[in-house]
This record gives sequence, C-alpha cells and structure tokens, in this order.
Amino acid sequence: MSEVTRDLIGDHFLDLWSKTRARKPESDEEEEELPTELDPDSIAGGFAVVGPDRLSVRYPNVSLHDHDAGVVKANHAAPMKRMIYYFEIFVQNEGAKGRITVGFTTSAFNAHRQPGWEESTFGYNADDGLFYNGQTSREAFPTFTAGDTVGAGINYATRNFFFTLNGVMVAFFDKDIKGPVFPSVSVHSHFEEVLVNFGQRGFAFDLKAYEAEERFIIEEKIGDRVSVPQNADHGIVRSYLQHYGYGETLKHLDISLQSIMPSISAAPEDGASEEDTMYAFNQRRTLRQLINSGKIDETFSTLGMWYPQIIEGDSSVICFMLHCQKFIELVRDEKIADALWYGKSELAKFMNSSAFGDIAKDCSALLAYGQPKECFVGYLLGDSQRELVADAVNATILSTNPNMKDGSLCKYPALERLIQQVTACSLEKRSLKGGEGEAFRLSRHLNSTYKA
Amino acid sequence: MDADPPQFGNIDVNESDIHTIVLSYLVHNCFKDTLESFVSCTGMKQPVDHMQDMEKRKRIYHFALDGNASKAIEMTEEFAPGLLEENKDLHFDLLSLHFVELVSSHKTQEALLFAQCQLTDFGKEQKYVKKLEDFMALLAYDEPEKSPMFHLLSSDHRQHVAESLNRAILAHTKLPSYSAMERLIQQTTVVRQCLSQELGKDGHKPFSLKDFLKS
Repeated sequence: MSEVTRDLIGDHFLDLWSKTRARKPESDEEEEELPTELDPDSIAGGFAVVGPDRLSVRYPNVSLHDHDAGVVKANHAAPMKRMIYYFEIFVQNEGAKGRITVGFTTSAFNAHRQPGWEESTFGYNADDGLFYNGQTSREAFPTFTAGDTVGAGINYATRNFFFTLNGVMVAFFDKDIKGPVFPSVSVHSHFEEVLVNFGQRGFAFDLKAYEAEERFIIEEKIGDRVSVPQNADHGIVRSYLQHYGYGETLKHLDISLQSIMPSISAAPEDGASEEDTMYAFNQRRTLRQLINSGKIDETFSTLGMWYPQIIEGDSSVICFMLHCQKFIELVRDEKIADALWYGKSELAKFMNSSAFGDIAKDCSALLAYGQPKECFVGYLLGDSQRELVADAVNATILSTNPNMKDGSLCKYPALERLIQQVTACSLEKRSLKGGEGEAFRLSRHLNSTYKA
Repeated sequence: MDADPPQFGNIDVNESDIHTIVLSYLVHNCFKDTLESFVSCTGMKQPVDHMQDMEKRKRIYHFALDGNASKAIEMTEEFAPGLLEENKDLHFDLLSLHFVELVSSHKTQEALLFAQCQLTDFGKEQKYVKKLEDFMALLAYDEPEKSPMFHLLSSDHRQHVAESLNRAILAHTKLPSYSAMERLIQQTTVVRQCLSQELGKDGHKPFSLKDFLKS
C-alpha cells in the first residue's frame, strides 16, 4: 500500500478530529425552522386579530361580510424532515356561528378564505364537521365548539393529513399537496376565538405514543419484507472485534460460534478474508493499549521497530497526531515545563502547515488555561482523543497489509460501513422523494427498540 | 463500487451505538461469556434482566440445533407456556425435526407411529399437507439422505428451525425477535431496494450483502 494511500487514511482521521472541534449538529433535522407562533402579517384585510402572545386569534368584533374569513398562518411552514408534524388549537369561544376551521395552507394561499377552500389547502370545519380540500368535502365527522381541542398533523411516512379531537384521532386523508404547508386557522364570525399550541404546552393527543406506533409498523414491515442472510451477522461482528482488537471477546465468540456451527467455517466469500481482518492483530492491539495508557514514547519506539515506514520522515499525519498526543499527555500529567519544551521541539514544525496548523494551535491553547479540562480545548484531555489516535494508528497498520486492495476498508470495519451505507442511502432516498420524512438515524432506531 | 466513498466516509458512527448493536447480537444469540467479556472491555452496563433467560434460551436452541426436538419442545413448554399453541407453523417444524431424527436413525416403525399421532392432525389444514407429504415420503427411502428431500435432514434446516424457535421465544418474552445487527442488515437492504427502484437502471444495483462486505 502506497505512501499516498497511507496519508489518505491519515487525512481521514485528521478530518474526524476537525469535526470534533467544530462540534457539528448531529443531523440536518435540527436545522429546520419550526412554527412557533401565528404570523399577523399573513392576515389580509384585518379579518382576524392575533393576540399579543401570537398564540391566539379572534374575529374582530365588528360585523364583517359573510364571505370574509379571517385566516392566519404560522410563522414558519411545517418542518418536513421528520416523520410527523402536529399542532393543536383550543376553541376558547365559538362565537356567533362557530365557523372555525383548522388545517394547512400553502404560502400562496389567498387569505380571505378558510383553509380547504382552495385546492392547495386542507381544513377541518367546526360548523359542519366536514373536511375540505379545494371544494371537495369528505364524510361528516364530529363538529367542534368551545372547550374542544382540535389537532391537525402531517404524517410524512404514510403521506397523510390527520386530525384529532380532544385527544382522539378522528380522521386521516391523503396529502396530495406538495411542498411546504403552513399550519393555519380561520375564524369567521363574531366573537370566535381560538388559542393555538405549537408544542410549547403538552398536547391533548398522545403524539409520542402515535409516533412510536407508526415507527413500529414501519419496522415490522421491513422485517416482513426482507430476510436476513443466514450467518451474515456473525462475520460482521467478528470483523468488528478484529478491527478494534477485542482479543479476549473474540476468543469467546469463536468458541461459541464453533459450538453452533461446527460444520460451517467462517466462509471466506462472505466478506473480507480472515487473513485481512486478522492482519497484525496482536501488533495493533498492543499499540492500541499503549496509546490508551498514554505511553506515547513507547508507541513511537514500537512503531519504529515494527512499522518504521509509518513514522519515517516524521512528517506524516500519524506522526503529527502522535506528537500532539505526547504533548497532551504531558499536560495531563501537569508536566508543564516538559510540555512547553516538547511543543517547541516537536510540534513547532507542524504549526506553519495549513493542514495541521489550526489543530496544533488547539493543543498549544491547552497551556494557556489553569483548568484546561474546562476550556473549549478540554476535549483533548479526554479518552476519546486517545481513541481517535489509536484508531488512526490501527487503520494505518492495516493499510500496510500487502494484500489489502482497497484502502477504505482500513478505516472502518464492515459494521460501521454498513451503518454509513444505510444512513447515506436513506438520506438520498429522502431527497429523491421531495425531502420529506425522517431519514434513518441509528441512535433513534436503537432507542426505540434496543436500549433497555 | 456503486457507493460514493467520500460521501459515506463523512458519516460519523457513534461508538456507544455500535456497542449497543454488538450487545443486542450477543443477547440474541445467548453468547453469555462473550457478552461478559465485551461488557467488561467496553465498560458498558451489563443488561442484568436478560441473563438468566439467556441460559434457558441457549439450551432450547442447542436442543433444536442438535435435532433433539422433544427436549426442545419440553423446555419451551415449560419456559414459555402457550407459545407453541400460538405458533403452529413452528410447532409443526419442531415435531417434524423429531420425525426426521427417527427416520435418520432408521427407526421407521417409530417414525410412522409418531407421524400418525402427532403430525397427521396438522394435515387438516391445507398449508401443511404438502409439507406432510414431503416428510412421509422420506419413509420410502432406504437412504433418506439421497432422496430429493434430503435438505430436511440437513443441519441448515435444523439451524433454521432453531432460529425460528429462538425468535418466537424472544417475542413471547417481549424482546425484539430480530437483533439490532439483523435489523441493520434488513434496513440497508430495503433502503437500497427503494433507491434502485427510484433511480431505475441509472442507479444502484440491487443490494448484495456479500458484495458489500467484499468491496
């Protein structure tokens, strides 16, 4: 494996380090704006008045023309990158005629009409209990009046609008409207008044339970649709343990596997061969243990003995990471004078490089603080930093395997690549389907089923 | 390779999530010693509640795997009463394992008697008739392993039945019947299938786990 590939691996881990510094949000789902209040500017012609907290709306006391409904929208469209969006209204006062409508409209919607009046809108009407979607109404459902809590939601997984009344699901319909939609409410007669809840208070409807049920249904469908290739999981777990050097665990696993599959050997066609995943197992394990105990000098000397090519020239990413770690360990042990000296003699040469400069500065910043653990570079003193360096060395040693055809296999074992694959493909699938719905997120998936 | 490596490589995988997946795999397969070792190496919290059940499930699994169906059935009825009544397909498969054991040991008379007592009742339902016929046909061969139904005698088949039994027991005790590892494989396969459909022939090829692991 060439020098170039080796540094590609190094660059990858450097990149990971940069990401830790930047502390990026876990997913794009956190970046969408949410509806939080009503937008008085969305009302045309004064046919509705929004309260000062922007969470209530009423029909002005002045008698107005029968055709002029007062419609108000939320300040942002309903977020799309999730499975379900939901909001509720509470009817404070049904007014003279009780013609409140709640639902969703698009930004282009003409604001004199109730949601549902035009095709790109959908609304549930208090007066007749009908659901409107551009003049077509559906079967009659319960009407609602003062004291009732009505909810309107979007289920992106099933592509439905759904409505609830006092905590109970009333109906759901196909969501034919494409693109962003705004939670909307309209009032249409004297004294009608409605309070709106965008999630700031608890909902009458058990949204969490509904979400859990829907996710469960989706999970079950996947289970029914696809069978798991027999014994595929064993190889994947083994290669994970082999990659990260879990020697003792691997031994136990192999004994257990032997007892259930004596005739079936770890089939080589089922993945990277045993030689490749077990390559330099003991060496990698030893080096990982050294790094995790902070013994960087020994790490350098051991590498020099076993894999001199990795630290030759003292300029590669691995060298940089190890020197930084040595510096960090000195700070950890409060050997400040030694750290200063080490920084000057070994880290200085990296400071001017565009690739390493910023990160190296993080390290030297450690010296500036009396309590380095509490400052923004405190993460350097944690175990996770040692793990990062150990992972980088691990991957680089794997790359010295003359049989290794693909350098990218060194960075991540099959298990992690599988997770990356499903996450990335899920995101791609969502963007192909108009960017709606929740993409696969491993922690969410595990929390709903597997965490105790 | 059809995946875009730089794009995939950017997705960070959380270590504790990976540990959860491995743990779920170990609990599912009742690998108790491995589990204890892994837990101590990673400093995770040991899942206390599932440990005792794991021993029992393991023994039931091994009985089924070895073809000792009667022991497996006995322990299952003790550990998870009502399970076999609720899972007739599974019950049938287990009983037929016993039948196959008898046939393999050339205890033809016993096999016949057993079939008449325990299996033919299932024949009242259409879906079992074909299976029954396959099993009974084994009796006609001096060397059943050379018959067209030889797969019914194979360790693969026993493994398949043992796994179904394990899943049924897990479900019965309100645990997930597929391990997180298996779910992950299923999720990946499904989402890749969806993508293939969306992208048509310009897009990704159908997902093959084997190819993926090799690539």
